[in-house]
Amino acid sequence: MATLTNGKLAGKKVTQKIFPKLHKGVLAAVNAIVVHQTGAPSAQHTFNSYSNANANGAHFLIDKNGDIYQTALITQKTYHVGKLQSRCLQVKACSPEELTVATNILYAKGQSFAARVRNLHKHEQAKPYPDRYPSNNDSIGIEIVGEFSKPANAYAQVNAKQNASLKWLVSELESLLSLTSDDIYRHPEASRKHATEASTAQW
Amino acid sequence: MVGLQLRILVSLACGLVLPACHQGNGEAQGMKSNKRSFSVTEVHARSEHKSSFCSGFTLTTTQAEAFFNRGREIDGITLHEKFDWLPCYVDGRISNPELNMNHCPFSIQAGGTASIRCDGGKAFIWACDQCEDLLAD
Ligand SMILES: [Zn+2]
Repeated sequence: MATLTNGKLAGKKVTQKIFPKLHKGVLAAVNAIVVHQTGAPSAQHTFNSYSNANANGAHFLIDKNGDIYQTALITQKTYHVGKLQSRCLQVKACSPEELTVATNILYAKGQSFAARVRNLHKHEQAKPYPDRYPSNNDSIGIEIVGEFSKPANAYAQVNAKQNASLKWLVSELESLLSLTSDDIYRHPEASRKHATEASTAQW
Repeated sequence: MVGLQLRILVSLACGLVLPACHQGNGEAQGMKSNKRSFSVTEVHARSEHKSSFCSGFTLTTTQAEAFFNRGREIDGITLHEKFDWLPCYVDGRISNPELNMNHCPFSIQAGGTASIRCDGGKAFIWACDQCEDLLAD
């Protein structure tokens, strides 16, 4: 059983490797966990990027061999989610009024795709969770080391050791943060990312 | 002189020792390879979205060339962290002698990245963050 003290997860399976440049302000509440893949073939590639001035990343990283690193404090926000999709549009549960508002934003003619996506993100952020998907302001992220294959145009398969570690980590965090299985998301579900990212992750 | 020595030192370190240089090296290769000699043919739009979200997303060959000329090669970390993925595509074929691209299939997606896959397994992820004017309907 792991413990949580001052934002650090202590347990035999977790190595602390905190990158202060990932911290983007106080994370007041954790409503959810978002599961990612890094896009890189090794943990070291990602650690190197976490040392850059404008580093973005998540709170945990699971290496190819299943090793778990904590890379940011759970008490700190990191930028790992990006622009939110409309949850009610995705699950086809918008009220008639909300359907009109959301589709008017998303399908606005004469605007760039980037502007439409930005505007819908702002609209979503004003909603309480779980009416919307989790954002940087109320979720923690778990990165799984996995390359994006250019020839295959897809993320690598999450391996068995990684999935075993993910299962343990999600279970511990659910328990420590009072989350349920409904609060765990793959990145492309919440945000606008390649559909294969974390598609083979299991927890 | 000092600058030259520093560059030599950095390239030696990147080439031989430091995996840290992977991303920077990839970006640098992208910058170096931007010879602005892209030639695009056969563009056509494709959508995976069932609604009208993607409707109107088209690019002419000239606009597709502008996307590649303004953009750069990126690595998988940058793709994941910096760019959205939208299921609206313009596909086509691209050539660039400087990069040994000969009529290679490409796919630009409306979030600002493109995949280029050439014969023999050579592939690129290209990205343009100054192309919002092109990625519109
Ligand atoms: Zn992700």
